[in-house]
Amino acid sequence: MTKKSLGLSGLALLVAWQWASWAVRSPVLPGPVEVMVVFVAALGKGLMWHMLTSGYRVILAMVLATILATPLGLAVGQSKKWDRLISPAIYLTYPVPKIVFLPVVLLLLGLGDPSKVFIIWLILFYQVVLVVRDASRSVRPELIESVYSLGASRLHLLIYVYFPACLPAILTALRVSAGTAIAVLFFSESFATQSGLGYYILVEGWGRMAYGEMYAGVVGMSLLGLVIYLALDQLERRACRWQRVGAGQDV
Amino acid sequence: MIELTNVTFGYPGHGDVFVEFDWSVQRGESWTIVGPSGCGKTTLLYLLAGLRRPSAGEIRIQGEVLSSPRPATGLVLQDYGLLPWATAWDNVALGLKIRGVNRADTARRVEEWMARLNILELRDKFPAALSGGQRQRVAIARTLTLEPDLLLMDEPFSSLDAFTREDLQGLAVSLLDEGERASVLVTHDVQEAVFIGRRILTLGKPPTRSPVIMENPRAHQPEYRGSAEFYEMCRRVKEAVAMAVNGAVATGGGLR
Repeated sequence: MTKKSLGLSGLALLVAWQWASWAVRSPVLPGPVEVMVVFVAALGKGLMWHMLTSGYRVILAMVLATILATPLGLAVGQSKKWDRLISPAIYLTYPVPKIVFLPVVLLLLGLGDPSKVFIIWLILFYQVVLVVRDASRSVRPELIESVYSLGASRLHLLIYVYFPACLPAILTALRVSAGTAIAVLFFSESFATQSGLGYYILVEGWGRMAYGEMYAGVVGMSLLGLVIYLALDQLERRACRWQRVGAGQDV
Repeated sequence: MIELTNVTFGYPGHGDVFVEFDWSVQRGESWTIVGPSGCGKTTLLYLLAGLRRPSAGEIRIQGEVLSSPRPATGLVLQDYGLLPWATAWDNVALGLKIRGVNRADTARRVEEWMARLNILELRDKFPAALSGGQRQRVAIARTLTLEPDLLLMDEPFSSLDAFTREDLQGLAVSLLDEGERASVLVTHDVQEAVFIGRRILTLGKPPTRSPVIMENPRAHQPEYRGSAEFYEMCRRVKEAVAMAVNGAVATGGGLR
């Protein structure tokens, strides 16, 4: 995948959008040029702030999910005792759609940021625990023994073996669930709030029948998703350079 | 240096590998352990490394009972020993980092050993970008930076092609001849055992009760390899292993 092919795909998307807009011929589906004009104008009139608010919520949830789920995933993957204790609970609760608890979370944590961050965190937390558990189980025992024979403690093994072994899986899990995280963000921002892109799209756009603003919000949310996705992709490329090395190949 | 007294060890459900086994290694000695797959040679090495613990008897190294890996013992494994996510340099530096050696000393020692083993120009490469021989040099450098007084090697050259293997065997004996370091190398390759081991321990079908030891004083000499004497020794080692496998040697000692 090159920058050129990405650019071409983007262009094709815009052409399809424009074509659909001409075909529908309704104010409900304005064309990309019109939306871009509104988007740029709206940035200075509060849209930027809504984007930053949404970005803050979803990124905070991702960071917290990584910090809290990684140690638990490692413990479950490495210790039979923790596995017996935690794995059945994960197995039973994983299929439950966490978003249905949003009303409960709103009642308990209030209408502010904590409830929104919590519900996104909860969904990501499961993903990260599971991938870390599986990745840490797949570390070869020979590797552990050879590092152990150098005089490593459990902490050393975590730092030098388990964490780097799990890092690619963590970043992939976050990247794959970035879309879900933003969808949940949209839903959680859709009522009883006055900030975030979900609010902007539904109240300032749809609610006032200002379709240009509504699409500007959609564009904002798409950009947020794209930026997070690309940032995680870059992070994975940098932190996991070793994964792309083949025999006899230079780095 | 190493003293095994009445050592018994077995894997649950698979029976004993060693029963009341006595064996000793002196300072400066260079040993090879040879035998077929499943004879317990790697198990013995892991016991010496402190990665397994005997169910009865004791292992003493430098007079101290061994209960966990000992800092002054170096271990080189057949493969998989290098961290795939660390560069050659970081892999060599790992043991020093774990021991909390300061940055300047670490850099000096890593550079010194990588230069000696001819891998300094590979410092920024990841293991996946190295050949088998280069990887094994990195693993040896990582162990030797720690300046071990006892070097344990588990089939270190078995996955290499014949030319690289001979090259690294030559390097190994030159390193083993330095100082008072004791070494134990496990192999299933009889020629390797005869070239590297001044004393050779042969193992057969488990459980092993007493050691069968062969003296091989000309090991390490480059002209020894390929001589009639060398091949005669290989033949005798093969014979000893075959006898041990068939259970003909019950008490050992006779092959000295």
